[in-house]
Amino acid sequence: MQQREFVKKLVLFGILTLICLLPACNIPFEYSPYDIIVEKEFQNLTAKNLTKLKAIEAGKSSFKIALISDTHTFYDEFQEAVEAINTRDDIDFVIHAGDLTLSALHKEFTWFNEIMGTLNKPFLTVIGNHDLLSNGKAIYEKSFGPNNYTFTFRGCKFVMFDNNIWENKNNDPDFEWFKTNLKNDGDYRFVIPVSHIPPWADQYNYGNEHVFNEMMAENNIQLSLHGHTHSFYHGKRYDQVDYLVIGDIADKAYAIITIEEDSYSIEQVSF
Amino acid sequence: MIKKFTYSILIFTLLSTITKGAENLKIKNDSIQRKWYVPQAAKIQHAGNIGFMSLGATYYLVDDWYQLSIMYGMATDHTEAKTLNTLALKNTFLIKKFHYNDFVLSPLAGLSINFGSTHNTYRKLPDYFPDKYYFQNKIHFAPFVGGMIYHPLPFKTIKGIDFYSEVATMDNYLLEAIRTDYVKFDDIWNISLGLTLYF
Repeated sequence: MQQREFVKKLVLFGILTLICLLPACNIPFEYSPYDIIVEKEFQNLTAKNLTKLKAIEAGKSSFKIALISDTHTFYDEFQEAVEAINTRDDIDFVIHAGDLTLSALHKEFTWFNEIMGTLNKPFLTVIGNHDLLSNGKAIYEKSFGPNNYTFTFRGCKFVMFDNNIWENKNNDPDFEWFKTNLKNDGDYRFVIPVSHIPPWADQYNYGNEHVFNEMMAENNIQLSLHGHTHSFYHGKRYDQVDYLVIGDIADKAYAIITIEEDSYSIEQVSF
Repeated sequence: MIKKFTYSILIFTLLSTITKGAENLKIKNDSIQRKWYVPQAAKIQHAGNIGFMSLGATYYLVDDWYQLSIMYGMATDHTEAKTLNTLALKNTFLIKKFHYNDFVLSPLAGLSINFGSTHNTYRKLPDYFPDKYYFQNKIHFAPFVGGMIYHPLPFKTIKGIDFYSEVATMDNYLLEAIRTDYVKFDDIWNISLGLTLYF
């Protein structure tokens, strides 16, 4: 009798607590900061953006790309950058050169995607070293797709390459894939590799730096796009290849790459 | 950071012992002398950033109002990360106890120190990283607030049970909510539910 009374009271209190707490708060259950959670609208974004790119491809040969990188958790500056890019009708698409997040936690990816969701142009990304922390690789793959991929746009080929080393358990990047895909196998005007880390930066030892540059020279690459160093650089560091490194978004600047019929130009734009 | 936290807990504990010394509203009458390692209670919890389901042992550090629960959160398919394990040192403070018939209700607050283990989580970076390349990402500090309802049970082994619910966040998210305008305080909280069995 005593037990029955107790159970009755406990159930009553439990229900009352649940009724009061849950709807009032609308707070989610979370199992770990390392959860591999990606909302459906933010899944397969590379494929979705490539479809958008296909839709605007025809009609012209020249185009403009906005290059941003290392947005990490500079969310306010990142929002400003997206707003600034949105005001320009002449930009065809945006490339993010990696480090979308700081610690690769699922909420950070969500916040990144929410901000990018307000961009009125297609965008493509490469994975950065920070995005590989904890379960970042799995979250990135679920949200965007494979780390290494290529796409073409108006006669140019882009080679999007995961060239992070230390966060891939100190393994060399997949140089075989890179070498194969750097080939100009379609009479493209330009083949443009995009990877997070420039070959002279911290994660590259002399051997890897040499291998990277050798592949660029063999394939007659003219322009290579990067992030990671948090400072702007544009120049022919090894005399042949033109390297463009965009700083982090807290610098309040993005780069515009204009591709013409047989030439390209680079411009740094502050916002 | 860990040193600072330890000092804060020590100071808080000392102050609280002085102020709470006279208070004698124990959740249960524990007259049995038990070995130091035998817990006073066991917890089972759903969510709260320490696994889909976590189990733990609870020790009373100061009377019964400052409790330390050592929780283990299990890997789960819900996260798609099979190697996800969490160990949490959960410091719970019962703020004020309200008695209603046989029930004891108490708001609670605390800080959980969560040790997460999955891919690329580091407390000490592998040798191939330069020193301080990343801040450690294995240990997270998770403050929480909540409430519990306790009722004694007429059994020898399990003398009472409580149901609790907590709203928690985590150091990384709290920092972003403070540092940026974009991350709002509403965005950073999660809820957990749990049961405690008192021995």
